[in-house]
This record gives sequence, structure tokens and C-alpha cells, in this order.
Amino acid sequence: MVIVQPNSQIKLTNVSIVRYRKGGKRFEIACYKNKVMEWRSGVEKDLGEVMQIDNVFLNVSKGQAANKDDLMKCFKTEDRNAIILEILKKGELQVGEKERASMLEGMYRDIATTVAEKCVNPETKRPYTVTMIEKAMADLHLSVNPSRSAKSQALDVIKQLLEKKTIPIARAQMRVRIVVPSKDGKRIKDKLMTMIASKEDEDLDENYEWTCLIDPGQFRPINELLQAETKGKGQLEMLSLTETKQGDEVF
Amino acid sequence: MPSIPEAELIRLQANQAHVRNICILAHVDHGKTTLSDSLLASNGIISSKLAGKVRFLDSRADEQERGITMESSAISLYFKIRRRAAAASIAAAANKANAAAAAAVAAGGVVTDQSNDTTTTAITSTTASSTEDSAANSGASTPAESVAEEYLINLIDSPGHVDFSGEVSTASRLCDGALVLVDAVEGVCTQTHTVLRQAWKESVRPVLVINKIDRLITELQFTPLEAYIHLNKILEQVNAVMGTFFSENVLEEDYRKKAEKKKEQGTTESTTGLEDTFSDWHVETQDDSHIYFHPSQGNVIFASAIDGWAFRVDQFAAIYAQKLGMKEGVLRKCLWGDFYLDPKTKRVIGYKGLKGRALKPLAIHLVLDNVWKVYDIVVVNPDKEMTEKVVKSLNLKVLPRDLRSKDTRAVLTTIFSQWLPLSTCVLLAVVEQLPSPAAAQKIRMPKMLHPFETTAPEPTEDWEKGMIACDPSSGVVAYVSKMVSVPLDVLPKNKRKTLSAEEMRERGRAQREHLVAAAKSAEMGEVGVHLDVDEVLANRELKEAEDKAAAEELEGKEALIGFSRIYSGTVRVGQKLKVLGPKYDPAYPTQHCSEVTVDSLFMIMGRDLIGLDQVPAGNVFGIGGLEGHVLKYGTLWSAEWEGGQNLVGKGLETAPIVRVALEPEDPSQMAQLVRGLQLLNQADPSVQVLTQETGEHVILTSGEVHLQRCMADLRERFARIEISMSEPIVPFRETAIDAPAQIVTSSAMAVNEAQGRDQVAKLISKSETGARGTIVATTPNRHVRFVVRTVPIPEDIKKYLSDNAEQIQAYVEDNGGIAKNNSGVAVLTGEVETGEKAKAQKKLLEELTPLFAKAGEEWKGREKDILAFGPRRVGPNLLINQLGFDFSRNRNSNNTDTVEEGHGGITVQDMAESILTGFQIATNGGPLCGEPMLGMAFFLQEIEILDNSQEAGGSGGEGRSKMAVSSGQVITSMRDACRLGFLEWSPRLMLAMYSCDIQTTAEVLGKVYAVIARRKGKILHEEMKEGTPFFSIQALLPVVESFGFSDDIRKRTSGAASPQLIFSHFEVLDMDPFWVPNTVEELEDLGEKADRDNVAKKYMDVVRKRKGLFVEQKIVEHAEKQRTLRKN
Repeated sequence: MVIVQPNSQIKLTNVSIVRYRKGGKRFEIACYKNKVMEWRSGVEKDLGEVMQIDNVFLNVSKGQAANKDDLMKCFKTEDRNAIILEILKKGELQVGEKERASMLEGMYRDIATTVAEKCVNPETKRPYTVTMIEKAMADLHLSVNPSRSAKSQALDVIKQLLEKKTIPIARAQMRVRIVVPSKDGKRIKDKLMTMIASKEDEDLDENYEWTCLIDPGQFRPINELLQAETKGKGQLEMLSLTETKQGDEVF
Repeated sequence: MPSIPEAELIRLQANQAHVRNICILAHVDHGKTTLSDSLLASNGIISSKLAGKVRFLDSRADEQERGITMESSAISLYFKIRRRAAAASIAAAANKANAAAAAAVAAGGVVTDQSNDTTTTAITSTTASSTEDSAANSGASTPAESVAEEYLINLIDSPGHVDFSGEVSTASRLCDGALVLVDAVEGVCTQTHTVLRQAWKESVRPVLVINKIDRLITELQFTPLEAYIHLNKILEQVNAVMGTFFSENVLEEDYRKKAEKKKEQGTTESTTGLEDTFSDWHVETQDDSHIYFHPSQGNVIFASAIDGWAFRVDQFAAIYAQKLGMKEGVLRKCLWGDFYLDPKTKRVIGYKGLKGRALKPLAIHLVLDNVWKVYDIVVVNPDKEMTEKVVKSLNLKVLPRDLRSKDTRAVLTTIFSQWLPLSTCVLLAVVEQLPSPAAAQKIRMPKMLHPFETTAPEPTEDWEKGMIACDPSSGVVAYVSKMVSVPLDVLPKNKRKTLSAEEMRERGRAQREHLVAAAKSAEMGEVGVHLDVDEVLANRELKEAEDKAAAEELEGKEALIGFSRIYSGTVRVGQKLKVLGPKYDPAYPTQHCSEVTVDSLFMIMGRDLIGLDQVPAGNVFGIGGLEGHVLKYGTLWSAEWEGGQNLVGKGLETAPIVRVALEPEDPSQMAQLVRGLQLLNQADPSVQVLTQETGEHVILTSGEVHLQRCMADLRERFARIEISMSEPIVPFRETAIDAPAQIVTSSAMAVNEAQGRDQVAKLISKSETGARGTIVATTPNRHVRFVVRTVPIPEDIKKYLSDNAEQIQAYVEDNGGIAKNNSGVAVLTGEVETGEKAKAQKKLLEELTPLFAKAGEEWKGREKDILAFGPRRVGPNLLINQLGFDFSRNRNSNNTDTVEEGHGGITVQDMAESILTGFQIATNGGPLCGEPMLGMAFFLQEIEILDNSQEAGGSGGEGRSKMAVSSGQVITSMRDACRLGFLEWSPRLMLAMYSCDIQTTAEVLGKVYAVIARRKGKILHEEMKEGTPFFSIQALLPVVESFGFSDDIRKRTSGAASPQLIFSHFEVLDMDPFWVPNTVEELEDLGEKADRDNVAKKYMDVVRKRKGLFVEQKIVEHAEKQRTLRKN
């Protein structure tokens, strides 16, 4: 039995372990906290800032280093650096406190920005500022889910905001132009009209043409309808993604 | 003095010759409000004991707290003198004074002959006494039979702080005369310049008041001689300022004349150098003596508003004339200046006659010494006995109780208020020196109506005559200078109907007593706060008596009252008037013109309003019923008269420069905020409110203090919600230039952004063979492949595009026609309908052709292939068709001759729409920080439908549904391809720039430069303004750096420079945001990180952070130095 004395002991603090399973064995490396994500995103380029100990372990907390045979067997190389890089890239990691915080904050902002881009104040037809949306989101007690994409969460937020009515909000509508040959046009007109929000312009001669505002969710259904009914002769053309008032308005 | 019944005031309004409209102007803290207090006290509106302490006209809570005036406020005063009788009574009084003086001498126990009593100071006090005697006599004991003249004085107290110079200009617009105050210690300050200039521009006649003379005595402990020299210096300074205005005017006129002459010479070819010399002579000979201040002219008042005294030298002259046996007129002329009294001959002698004798100038001898003496015995070395003697000799009636008061200051005030009463002196000066409305309008109106002509044409129209003559029987012309928001419960009509005038006064008195009590109990400094509390209490008590419901209804509601001056005619309640907006142009009489009925008229009495039935020409008044018609200022015009003249916009307006974005703390209160902003916008002429494209509500104010006031107003009065303030969002543009790109360009961030989704597949990548900026992209379902090349647009074309942005926009928006028939057709060649559109198209095409030809081979002739502008279909970026075939889907031919029929009926032309959309999205948010691109062109080089897609197209129907999927994927692929292509070049951020005009004096020029340099501004040029001590500097300043700029520059230059900022354009910041030090030198200088020096990166990161985009920033800088302790 080895007598463990304080001076021969290495206490690992400030450590974050990255684990990687390969060839039926589990390998670990000892990294600094809050650093692995940065390494992965390419922000941190100095490996020394990421790795605590330049070695591959089987178990970091026990100080059990992986032996050469195991490494050779699993990674088919002896170059420890290459192995470390692979583990860093593919291993599962503990997300640090600060990393998580900054990730969530970024996500939160991203959601708010997306919502702000997609919505308008229906009274003024102007977008809300991101900070306003953030305040409204705080009202919703929204918790960010880091594994879902910001966009899908933003769509959720919009739904909740619409329900809760803390602020008057509406999806910014798309302006599109629909062009259909007249014989098809007559047939699908009624169906189309139920799908659009408001009609701005109508031109019914050889081809039926409508300029209208639609809810963004309706874009695909309308497109599919057109494709199905007119055999590609109908056109759906997007004029603007979000219909908002432009320019400054002086009171 | 008892308070003046309102009926009196109303009666006086009609008598134009006895009306004076004056304003008080000065640098901040030179005592404007204090002075007006003393004047109010003379009308019994406040207690004379409190004059100078209450600051009655500072009715806002924050004004009282901070001790500065923020809003100009008006009040009407009543003043009664016996002008004709005065002369007689002075003579009579002087006789009496002699006797009194003799008595005084005896009492003083100074045994000297009265004939040479002017040598010792002790006796001076006695002489003084006689002086004061007569003054007091003439003031107090007027023979009953003398003709009393009554005056109505409309006084406007204006703020002195730089931020509120807008208020000053409105105040001076309404008035005919101005009291310009100068602190005796501080002398002429920056705002003094400004207000003098203002008065000069508006041709308002000024009277100089040198205030705070008591500070010379008690603080600086000047001797009379030192004080005399000091005061003379101030006079010189002020006159020097006036002189520059004059010379400026003369020079300007001269230039104009010369210019005119040159024009003539151009036609007649008759030139002589002689004429020029003549015009030079002309400059010399214009008389400018009338504009200067000199005590002997009576337009200089020496005062101490806090101690409640003031005098003009005439007062003393009148007294001594008798005593010294000289003519009053002569004495008045030599009572200030290098004149001495020869003690032997008893004659006034000039400097030459002095012959080395150390005599004091008359001014010191007869005037200042006396004042100093009183201060000496009362305050500096309190001497009860002497005080009593002096009081007696001055023949003042001071209660012994007051005299015995421990508070020497109070004693002083009591003595002075009887000896040299401030209000009498100032009001007398106002009445004598400043013109009546009728007289003033004769001079001012022609200037106002014809500001650019030196000699106004003879008045021809009725209204012109009416205005110049100030004729109350003519039609109505009035100017509304601002809208004041007052709580509804102040309006007379909302006061209880049963309340008679008497009762109202009673109530007012009760309130004032409250004030008095409060002020007494409180310490000087805290007066404001306590006052408010008491006021609120008093108000509450009163309200309880009233009907509660009504009170509740009114509480907190605001009404807008127009602050106006009537130039001609008589307004009556119920009268119909035309309102001409600020944009009104006589050429288009129907625009910006509406009709209103006068709801109510008011006399403005500080915070109170008195209802009126009519107001005759020449008065300042409040008018109700303009809400919704007059936004900030406007002109009122008789409905009977055709046309009209806009009186607005001829003032000197300072453009607001401090910009902040506002948001309610609680997002659901947005509506209140908007409503509040609308009210604020109406109530404050110098604030601008706007909603930006980003949805921000931005207010522009003229300074930080002004901003704070606006915020207080919004929070407490207009919106009544919590509001948060932030820096407004600053726009950027993204562009790229043809410079060696950093290797890191496609660094972490870029890769993350553009390729995040397709990292594995590498669907979008650089073309191996193509030129720089060429990107090959394939949709994720491997159905469509295309090649896009990104190229920065050459300078000339870029310039053309941005210069003609409006034209292009008009063309594109107008011309739905092209896209209507065919998406994917070239914008500038598509078939268009005839007429305007065709013309516009031809014009654009013709102008672009040479530019494209010049730009080089790859551009030549491409103008015909422009598929779209972007972003928003009108921007300064281009999508150009380089496919070599027509990209438009020719729907009319119904797909009979489409290129490739094979792939389930899908053609590349079907993808056109998606490509365009992708392009629009990419140009709307570039890869740097999601801001719009500027000046990038995208050449669509190849596009094809791939056959080898996994599920090869089966039936037409399947192909169709697949196309729907593809078209979505083409959009994202196109977007990413454009962004990646952009990064192939050397990306640059473009900063929004303000063009910045600064006027400043030579002394602070260096500091101005320093501030601009620190904020990364660029000086364009500077030049000296002829005839003035000012330099005018033009500079460019990035908008990002402008927050707090105006405040900074004002602080650094002590207010001598104030900038004007106007958005001008976007400018490339020549610095790659991805730049890092590479060479050995750079590494040595800046270290590896260099994030301190890469400004572009800093800006970019700020924006990315705000938007929640990925920021290349380390969460932990030094991994090893993290806190290593365990949590518990």
C-alpha cells in the first residue's frame, strides 16, 4: 500500500473532465473549466490554456493514466496529441457554469432578436425593439432550452406572447404575389382567399394575379396548393419577408 | 403693498402706451429669478421679506430642487409712477432734504460746514442721507394732485442654462425689451453672449443690470475704488460684445452690398475701385453709440437682487444736482466716468484738471461710497448706534424691532428696501428705457417680416400696417411661441364657479401664507422641498372642500395653453381664427392652415391663470383651444383676411442633439408612453420625438439637463409610468474591399455562421478554379447547384447607386410591372408600359451604361443584366445575371420551350424566385454582424438542376412537391453562398457619420480638437468667421461615438462651443474586423490579442452581442486563474 502523503499528492481543482468512449474503453482528459467549449468553437487556440495535464487518463480523479497499449488499440496511433485532440473534439464534456450562463444568455438574446424580427406592433406596424421583447419574455417566465434551436423557441415565444397579451403583438405578415392562369384561378380562388390575410391588389384578366399579405405560416400551404392544382403554372412570389413601415416618423 | 386687483390689470391691457413686454435674460445663476421675485413682491404677490428666496416663478418641483429655472414663465405686473409730478416733487423734496440733511448733520455730531461736507466719509453718509431723503420723498410722499401713471408690465423669466436656449429664443420673440443681467463678480459669461446675441437678433432693446454688487462688498471686500474699476471692466466687456454684433452686421451688409454691386458690374461693366473705398468709409461712419450701455444713458442698473436694492446714476444725479448747484442733466452725464469734483472750486473737472491730485471719481465719491458705508456699518462691522443714526438721517421708517434684529442681513434688507427699492428702480428703468409695444413693433415688425432686406418696403397690406402700428382695431395677428401644459385644475373655468375674484384672492393669500410659513420654518437651502410638501397639503385641503368627484376627474389631467403675443387686433373669446402651421407658405394658402375657435384667454400670473374676455394688441397672453391645431408654435391670423404671413421659423433655433431611446419599464405600458411623448412634443418646442424604423422611440433634446427635465416631465406628468432610457441603436453597414484578406477571414466565426448547418457535407464552398469570391453551392437535397461570384461594386457605380437611391426606389416600386410578368427578368430591360416608367428606365440605363463601361471588362454591358437591387429590392447591392441565357420564366408561353423539361418539369427558371429571395436576405443581414450590406454585387454564374439527386424525378407531381422543398433550400443556400462570398474579400464595417458643425472661440479651439479626436472624429475644415471672434469648424463624427459628445464638448470648453450634429452618410472604417497582428513588429507593438486596437472588431462584437449572435470572445481569459475554491 502506497502511503499517500500531502506532498506527493496532486489535488485536482478547477478541473473539467472530458470523457470519450472508444473501443470499449473510456478515456478521460483533464481540462480547465469553461474552456472546452471555447476550444471547440475555435475561440481558444492555445491548447495549454485548455488542458490541465497533458495526458490521457482512464480515470482522472484516481490519477489512472491510460497505457500505451490501450491507446494503440483504440486509437491506432501513439501520438498522444492527436488522441487528445480527438477526445477534445468528440468527447462528452461537463459544461461549465460560466459557459452555460453565456450560452443561455446568447440563446435568450437570439430568441428575442428572432421574435423582434418576425413580429410587429399591430397598432403601429413597426417592429418592437429587442429589449422590449426581452422584457415581455421575462414576463412570460421563459426558460431557455439549450438543446432546441433558437428559431423554434422563438416561434413558441410568439405563440405565448399572443396568448398572454402583455404587449400588442402580431406576426409580421409577408407580402406575396400569386399568379395563376385564369382557368385554374377560378377554381381555387375561394380556397386561396381563405388562406391569405388581406388582399391588396387584384388583377383578373388572362392570368389571375393577387398581391396580398399572408401569415408566414401560410406560405408553404399556399405554395403546395398552387403546385398541386396548377401543375406548376401558378406562381407564388415573395415581395417582402416582413411587412413593416419604413422610415422614421417624426411626431 | 396690497395685491393688485385683476380688474386693474385687465383695464391696463388696453392702454398700449402703458404696456411693456420684457424678459429677463442672463447666464445661469446670475439672479434672474431672484430679481423677478423682488418685482413680484412690489405687487404684493409674495411677501417682500421673502423676495429673492422663494423663487416664485420656478414653479416646478425640480426647478426648486436644483435651483435653476427650466421653463420660462410669465407674469403680469402693475406699476404706478407719477412721472410729471415726479420732477416737481423732486424739487420740492430736495428742499425738504436740505433741511433734513442739516438735521442729520447735527444729529451725527459732525461739526462741519455744509458747503464742504463732501470730503470726509462721515459726512458722505450724511450727504447720502439727503440723497436718500429726497429719493424716499419722491418715492413715498407724492402730492395727491400729481398725475399718476399706471403701467402694465408683462414679465417673462427665462432659464439661463445652455440647454434651454430654445426657451430664451421664444421668450425674446414675445418681448420688446430685455433686462440683461450680469453677475458683478463673474462678469460676462458664455450665456451672456448668447442672450445678448439673441436680443440683438430679435431687435429687443436691452437694459443692463449688474447684479450681485453686494458680493463685491462682502465677499471680495473691494474698496469702492476697486469696485468702480471692476464695474467699468464689466461694462467694457458687455459693450465689446455689443460692438462685435454691430460690426458683424455692418460687415455683412457691406458684403451684401459689394456682392450686389459686383452683380451690377457684371452687367454694366463699370468698375471703380473708388466705390469700394467709399463703402469702406461707410463702415466707419455708421453710428453705433446707441447700442452701447452707459450709466449716464440710464440703461445700466446696479443692483443686488438678494438684498433688494438697485439704483441708476440718475437717481443720485437728481439729488446731488441741487446740492452741488449743478444742472441735473450735466451731473447725470458726469456721474460715471473720469470726472472729479474739485473740492475748492466745487466744479466738476476732467482727468486733465486733476493735476496729480488723488481725488476720487464722482461715481465713487457720490454713489459707491454711500452704499459701501451702509454695508460697513450694518453687516461688516455691525454698529447699532451708527445704524440708527444712518436710518434716521436717511429719514427711513424702520421699526425699532426690525433694527434690533440679530440678523444683520434682515436689517440691511429693510434699510435698502426703503432707501433704494429694487422694484421701483428696475420698473422705472423699464418704463423709461424700453419701448412700448407700439413703438417697438414699428422697428421690429419690418425686420420680422422681411428679414433679408435691409430696408423694409413700405407696408402695403392691411395686416402689415396693423402689425406695425400695433392697432387693436385691426385684424388679429398673433404668434404662439410655445404650448404650455398646465394641470386642468389650475384653469379658471375649472375653479368653483361661485368663487368670486375676491374669494380667489383670499384663497391665494391663504396659499401664500402657507408658503411663507413653510419658508420660514425651513432652512434656506431646503425651502423648495418643504414648500412643495406644504403646497400639496394646502391643495389637498382645498380640494376636500370642493366636489371630490370633480377634483378627481381633473387631477393629473393636463391642458395645453398657447403662450402668445398679439401684434395686431384684439382677440376675443369665441372668435374664429386661422391657425398657420410652421410649414405654412403664403404661396399655398390652403396647406397647413386650419380654423379654430378661441376657447379661452388668460393672463398668465406665474403658476396661476386669470381668465380674460379679450386681449388687445401688444400683450402677452395665454390662449386655450389650440390643442391639436398648434403643435409647438404657430401664427394666429384673422379669419377675415385672405392669405397670411408665417411668423414662425424666423427665430434662432438650436437643433436638439442629445439622442436617447425610451422604453417603458413595463412592456404593457407602451401606449401610455406614446401618448406621453406626444404631449411632451407639444409642450416643449425644443424637443423632437420620433419613432425609428427599428421601432425605437427616440427623443432628441438639446442637452443633458434638458433631457433630465423631459424625463421628469414624462414620468410625472405626461406618461406617468416608469421609463427606461438607453443609447439608441446605431446602424452599421457591411461592405468589402479589394484588399488582401486576412487568413483568418474564414475563421471560427465565419465558418460557424455560414457553414454551421452544412459542415459535414461541405455543400457550400469556395470554388477551386474561379476568381476570388466565387462560391459553389449545392442544396442539401443535392437537387440544385449554382455558382455565385461576389464582387465589390466599383466606387463610381456605388456612388451612383447611393446618390440615386430615391430614383431607383421610385422606379422599382412603381414598376411592379416587370416582376409582375416575369420574376427573374433583368430589372432594367424588361418590357415596361409606356410613359413615365419607360422614361425612368431609359434614364437609369443611360446613366449606368458609361459607369459600367468604365468599371472594367467584367462589368461592361452588365447593366442590362441586373436582376435585382437589394436589400428590400431597392438597396445599393446588385444581383447580376451572368448565366448567358434568359433567366426569366416565360410564363406566357406556358412552358412549351423551357430549357430542360427532363427533371420532373422543373426548370432552373423556377428557381429564380428563390435565388432572388436568398439574395435579398443576404444583403439585408451581412455576415459580420447582421447589418445590411452596401455596395456588393453578386454575379450568378451557373445554375443547374442535378440529375443524380437521390430520388430521381418520377412523375410530374412528385417533382412539383420536391420543388417546393428545393426552393426553400435554394433560399438558404443562396443566402449562405452570398455571405461566404462576401467574406472572401476583405470585409469592412461602415460607420454612420454625423457631420458636425461647431462654433467656438479661439481660446477653446484646442480643447474642441481634443474632444473630436478622442471620439475618432475627423476635422474637415475650420475657418474664422469674419467680424467675429468665432471659428467655425466642420467635422465628421461616427454616430457610435457620439453618445454624450455634446455634453463632453460643452464641459471641456466651459460651454463656449456647442455642436450641431446631422446625419450625413456611411463611411468605411478602414480596418478589417478580423485583423490580428501578424508581422513581428505588430506582434511586438500590440501583443497577440490586439483586441484593444481593433476598433472594427469592437464595434462588430457589440452589435453581435446585442443580437445574440456568436461572439468570438473568451469567457475565461486565463484558465488557470479561475477561482479554484469549492463552492461550500
